[in-house]
Amino acid sequence: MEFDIGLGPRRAKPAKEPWNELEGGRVDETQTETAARTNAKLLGRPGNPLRRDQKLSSVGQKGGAVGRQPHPSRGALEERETEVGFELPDLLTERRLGNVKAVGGPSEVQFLGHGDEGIEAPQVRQLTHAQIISISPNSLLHPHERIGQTEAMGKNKPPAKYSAVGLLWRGLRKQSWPRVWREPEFKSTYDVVIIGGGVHGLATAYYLASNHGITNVAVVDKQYLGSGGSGRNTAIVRSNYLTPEGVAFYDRSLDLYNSMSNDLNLNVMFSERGHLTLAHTDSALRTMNWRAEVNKLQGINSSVITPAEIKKLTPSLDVSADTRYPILGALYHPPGGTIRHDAVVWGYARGADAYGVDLHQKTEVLDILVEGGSGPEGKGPGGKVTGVRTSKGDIHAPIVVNCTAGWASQLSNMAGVTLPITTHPLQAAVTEPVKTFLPTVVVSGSLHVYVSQTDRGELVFGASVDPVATYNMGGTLEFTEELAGHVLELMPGISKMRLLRQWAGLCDMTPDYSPVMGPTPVDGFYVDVGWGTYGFKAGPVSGEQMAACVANGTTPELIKPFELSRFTEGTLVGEKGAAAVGH
Amino acid sequence: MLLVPCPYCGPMNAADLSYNGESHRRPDPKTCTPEEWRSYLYLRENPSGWLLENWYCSSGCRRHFKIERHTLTGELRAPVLPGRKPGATQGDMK
Amino acid sequence: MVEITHLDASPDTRVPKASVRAADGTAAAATLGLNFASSEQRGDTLVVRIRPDEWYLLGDGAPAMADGLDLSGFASTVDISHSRTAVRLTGDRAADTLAKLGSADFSDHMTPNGAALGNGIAGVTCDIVRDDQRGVRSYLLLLDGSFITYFLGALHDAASEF
Repeated sequence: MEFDIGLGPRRAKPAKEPWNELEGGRVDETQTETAARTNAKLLGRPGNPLRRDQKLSSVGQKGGAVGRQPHPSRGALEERETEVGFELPDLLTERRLGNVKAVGGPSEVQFLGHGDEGIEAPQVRQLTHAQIISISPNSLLHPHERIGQTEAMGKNKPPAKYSAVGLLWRGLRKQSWPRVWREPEFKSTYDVVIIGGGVHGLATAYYLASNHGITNVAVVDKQYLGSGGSGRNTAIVRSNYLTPEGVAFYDRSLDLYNSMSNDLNLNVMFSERGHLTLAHTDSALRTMNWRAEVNKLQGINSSVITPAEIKKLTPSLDVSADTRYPILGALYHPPGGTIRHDAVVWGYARGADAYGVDLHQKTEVLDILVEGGSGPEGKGPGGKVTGVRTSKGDIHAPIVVNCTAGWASQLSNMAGVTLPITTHPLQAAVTEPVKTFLPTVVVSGSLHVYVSQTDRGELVFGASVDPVATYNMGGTLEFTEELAGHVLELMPGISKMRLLRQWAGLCDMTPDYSPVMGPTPVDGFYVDVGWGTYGFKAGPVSGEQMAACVANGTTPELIKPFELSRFTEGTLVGEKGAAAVGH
Repeated sequence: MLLVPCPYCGPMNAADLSYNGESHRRPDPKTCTPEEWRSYLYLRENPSGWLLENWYCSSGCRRHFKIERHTLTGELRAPVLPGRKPGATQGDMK
Repeated sequence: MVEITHLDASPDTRVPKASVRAADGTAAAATLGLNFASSEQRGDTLVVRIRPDEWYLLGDGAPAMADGLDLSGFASTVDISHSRTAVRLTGDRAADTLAKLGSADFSDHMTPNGAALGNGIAGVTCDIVRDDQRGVRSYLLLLDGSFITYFLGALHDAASEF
């Protein structure tokens, strides 16, 4: 009598608890059917590289526990269902009685039934959401908390629901929130290893689990999650690109960002404040008009506005005609805005963790293990990935995805794959916080600067990449001088503001300023790299597409133009509207 | 600020020079395959360490030269003019 | 006090300019001589070896001198009077003014009278000759003529402190 509540593998979102969608224990038959169908499809899907390699250990292992152990794809919700309603005393009783049985090691705790159902009844008692609410506010707490700190946090446990009720409950009980994601044990075998714990890597892991049911996944990062470009960018998102392909791609990303707070049950503070791309020359204005028309055809809200309208939107801009680079107009894109980049990282990490993805921080990849390639040590084209060597030990995996920025070339070189990438730092700076006065995101391609004001009141500035390729992320005086000069051209009124700090992030620049996504000449080694200066905007959609690419073994149409082979085939992609400034 | 020792002008601010990236031997366009040519055009080792690079002293002597630079620490080794051996660069300034 | 003069703005101070490219071993290179990055006043022409294989001839005698060169071998001359424009910066604080806008070392030790160098000044690539006028520190700057309005403004900004 195991059933699914309908948030099955496809678009299952552990965070989006439909507290109000299901009523009083009613189980929708069609939902159950859907789930069953999806599972069947998952297990027997032809062309799935995991199946081909016969290394789908998540399915293999779970096979022995059919009937008790939920399938990883929908485990999160289901296990939660089996557990909520138990309170601590019950749990201790259950454990004494032997009704609590460890499955697959101490980290996986299964409840076989409530006390009165007896030890012999291996049935999972299902509770509906309505019941959960009525039973005990305890259900709002994390299972981890309920069973105390003695048990390691299990796989596929849902994260604590962030809600107003939960907040109030914790406030009244003076309880703090639990850890957002587990610190998993290091395993030596996974189905997929994703290198890079940033937005791209975590989104790929999340969508592998949620859309494709592949949860035996490790994300490894040599530092902490979001320590690279994901935590260093200026957090601007938009979709007003120039080519139809670009527009479609980034619009999907914006869609995902739009619904992200709900999907991930974490407020990512998406502020749809409007995005202004200033034109200082006739030719720039012409390009803006072109972009606006392309955007309108694609259904994107985007138009060219006059200096008077700019002044109305953003009074602090100097739109007079006597500046060195007078503002002649702007491309106004209302859906563009800013988002809290850390929250995006945390949201995906939490979501992926809930599905059972292992997030290994401070785990540096030292080598990528490849067999049968044409290069030295069996690496290079024609080879096949067997795993990665990390600072914590070897991991065997048939699929390795490189989702790094800055170190993309180094890691790919470890597999014998040479990328068309040079790494340049991009510097950004932030001022002291002041009262809100800048209601839009302002970008000037001619002046190589973009500005937005954070919710705290700080102005965040970004520029184009430094001209010299380097892995050094130190700040330079040239940047500060140039930035200050250009910003004051736009907004003379802020000349007395002080810069608080500046920092840099590494950008992997490709010859055509487009990313490199998809498979490589080494079987099982995938890349999602070369995002240059705009990887953050594309994080969700590239995660979604890379997950599809890895799970299905074929490259989705949306990212087909970005395959690595385009460089040897001479079919480069020119998305000139991709980066706001700098090429 | 990166100080690049131009073989003619001496230490120059990198902002006064043009950075032309990794130095590669160009394959013979008459005999190489399109793939080889495109690899030469696009593919880069991009190491985090010592790298032989092309620089152009655009606001100084307008010479192209090669220099080894450490891409992480920014250290630079002696520059080399095209067609000459390292160390033989300072001689013919006259 | 720094005096900024746009020499090419007036017919009286206009500077005829010629560029000579000559490879090592050519007759023109032997005639012009000089070490790289140095200059010499010859009659009413200032001869500057601005690059290893390039000389500037500046002043009223420049066209005649350029015409008189033996251009056998890998050598050529170009009249750059109208593409490059000349600005003179004179005064005790002229070096400080340039130092604010450029990255080169304008001290007497590195750039004594007669020294020539290329440097970005306020973002504009300039050829600079230290050419003291009657004992007062002075620099002759050659730059692309289209930048001149901006360039004079930048120089004025920088010099206004002194």
